[in-house]
Amino acid sequence: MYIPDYYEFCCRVNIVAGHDALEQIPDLLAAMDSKSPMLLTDKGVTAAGLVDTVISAVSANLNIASIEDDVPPDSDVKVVNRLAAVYREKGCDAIIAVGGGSVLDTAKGINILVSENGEDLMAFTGAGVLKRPLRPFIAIPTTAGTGSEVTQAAVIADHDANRKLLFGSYYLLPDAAIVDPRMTLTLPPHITAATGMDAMAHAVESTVMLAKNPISDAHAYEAMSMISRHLPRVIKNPGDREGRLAMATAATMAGIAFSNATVGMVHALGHSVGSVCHVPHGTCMAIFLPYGLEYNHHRVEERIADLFLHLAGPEAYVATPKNKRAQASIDWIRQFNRDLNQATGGTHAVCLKDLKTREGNPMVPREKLGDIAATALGDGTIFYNPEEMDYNDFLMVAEAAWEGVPLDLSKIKKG
Amino acid sequence: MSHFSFLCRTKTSFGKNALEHLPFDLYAMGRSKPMVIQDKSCHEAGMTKPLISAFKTSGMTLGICPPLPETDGDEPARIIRSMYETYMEKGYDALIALGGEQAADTAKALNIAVTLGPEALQQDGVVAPLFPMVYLPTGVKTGTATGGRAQFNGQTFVSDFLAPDQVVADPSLFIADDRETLLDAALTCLAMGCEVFGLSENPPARAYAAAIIQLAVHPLKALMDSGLDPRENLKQRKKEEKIWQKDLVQAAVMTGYLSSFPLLTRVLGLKLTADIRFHQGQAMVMVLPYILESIESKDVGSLLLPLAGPDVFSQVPAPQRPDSAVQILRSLVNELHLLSGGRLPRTLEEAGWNEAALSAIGQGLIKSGSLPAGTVPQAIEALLTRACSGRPAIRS
Repeated sequence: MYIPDYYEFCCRVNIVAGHDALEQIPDLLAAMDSKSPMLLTDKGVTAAGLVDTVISAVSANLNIASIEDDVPPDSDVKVVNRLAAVYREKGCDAIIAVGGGSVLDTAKGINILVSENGEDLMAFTGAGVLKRPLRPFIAIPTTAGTGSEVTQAAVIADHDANRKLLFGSYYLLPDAAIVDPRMTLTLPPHITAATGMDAMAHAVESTVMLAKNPISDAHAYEAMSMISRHLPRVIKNPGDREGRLAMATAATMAGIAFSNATVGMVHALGHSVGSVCHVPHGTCMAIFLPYGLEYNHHRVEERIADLFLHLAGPEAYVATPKNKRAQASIDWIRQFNRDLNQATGGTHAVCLKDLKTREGNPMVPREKLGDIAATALGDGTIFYNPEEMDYNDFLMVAEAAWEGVPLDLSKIKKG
Repeated sequence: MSHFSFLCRTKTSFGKNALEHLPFDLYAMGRSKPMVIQDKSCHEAGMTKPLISAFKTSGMTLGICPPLPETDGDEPARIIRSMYETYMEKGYDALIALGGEQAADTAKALNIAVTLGPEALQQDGVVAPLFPMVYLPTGVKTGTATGGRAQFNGQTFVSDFLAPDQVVADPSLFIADDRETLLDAALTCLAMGCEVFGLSENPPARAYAAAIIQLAVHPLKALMDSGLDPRENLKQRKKEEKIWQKDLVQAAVMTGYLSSFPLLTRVLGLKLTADIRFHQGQAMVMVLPYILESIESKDVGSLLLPLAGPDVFSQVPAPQRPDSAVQILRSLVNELHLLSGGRLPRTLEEAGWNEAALSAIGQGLIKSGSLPAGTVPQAIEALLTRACSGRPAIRS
């Protein structure tokens, strides 16, 4: 067990999980003295029928004051301002956010404005600006992956000024996260695979980072063990309610782990490929995860070896000599990706060059790898990575991930 | 797993210089004038000195109350009234409890009074958030200080809102605990951690429990290896105890977070040590194997991982893991008996109980309704009878 000289851990979100978790929402709001929530979501979630599922679960005991489903894929300051005005006009006293990162970030922005009686989000940017609890806020994640329901940050775009506003505070955390498998039952296999690997990357990266601690590790190990057992099951049988609940729980726990222990180069590269080539985040996580471990191997071999039991189970652990377990963890993740590729009929990509647009064009042209490396260099997540990285290091990893070949370990600068 | 919920409202800050961060943390909570409640042992050990030093350049005003008296009687109500008047008159805006359970309970009660009004102390339940409260442990005897529970003036308050907003565990504030205290804390944490990990289908709680077990097992083994009562090499002994204390404070703080879980080990531990004097942790670990045996759970076998580590867990075939985990706990109790020269009991009978008295305890618990939900009443009497003589359950 690794115990750093100093660590912090915090997750103030009430995790309410189960096959009937949605039905708990009226009681949770009543306990916070809230009677008129705004339900916030996006068109995709509405079209998938998930808003109907939420409403039918709560409507007997709760009056929803307003349903707003036009949150864009990239949360926007104008949308936040408009919806904060709607919240006030309709006399709302809480937010129920149903969706992924953008919906939850938009909800956090609205909650800042309505709680602080503010007009300008800019006044609340940065860390530690908020000084008191905000109004009641319940998050219902609709993918088992991002962990946004337990993270204290929000990113909201100011498209007019071409900038992103960053917010960070424990007060941004939802009061409760509702983990209900009905929200993910209809996810198609390739999205289940990508979002599941997003959660896996959160869990795995958090255990090798410099800010890891005993509590974040325990959350991460529990999460990766659940993902390795249940992700193949739910891809094979999407209606497996037990498996969906385990995956949704694992994603939330992985979110708790990484929001306390941070993430590193896998996320730096993932953010970069997402930004430069618009590849979905989970897909990037699946592709870069083995490379993140491979690159940091010489620095944190023991930590990577410790993963093997939780990923592959006790029989494989016993059968693998101690000095081979770190490499076995990396190989296991590569094989897991290949298995997911097969189980999804080839739609879960294992390397960047295989990614195609709907028209069949490459999503990540090889000539973009330089831009990807340059963008990754400026990503804040690299701060806690065990080994340092410069432009050439990022480029080397991106090139290997493009081809889908292991890193040439002799090229890794060890210092 | 079909449903669960988990909430820990508390931020944990542990380790070297953790105290230096406290002014920033209070500032982030919008607070600038905290009032400090300390118990007698902290006062005598001068533990407010490092606290004052941490706030020196913060620009914050720190109010320090006189130490709490050790005796009870009508003192608590009078003290709270006096603290309440000071807090309101001087305009304090947060509370810091320094010490053990008494300091934390007093701070929690005072927080109810200053946030909701003194009349709230006469009512049941706390249903609204309270003002920020920070708890600074000074040793392993933290009890439920970090949980949502407070005992005050004969009343018990239970609410998630009573849990501290932050626990800052800085070794510079730790007062040396003797070996007996360290041993009792290790056993208490181990018992409660094992029951949560082995029997609860609550993944976040299991994560905390896994950390608790590992943090308790290492110092416990080291303590036993080093001897329960060494008479030589005082310097080396103090050094070892300091290291074990650091791990055990973390374990104790996290165990407090799980204090809202209805645990049979705790219910029985309290009951079995109320009339016959032996340590609560010892009583909890003694009944734990019988609890694990009596309750059907597929996860008892997984206990072997935090208890014995990945190598032992993996080498034992899955069907044998529950028995192996239980056997480790049983061997621990037996080994303590040997190490203590027979002073620490192996069975409830050796602790002074007999079957008739235990049967009465079992029936009393069943009637009182204080057993955790889902406990089969017949199982309680049966497990106490087995724990009395030290007879394992016969597995089918």
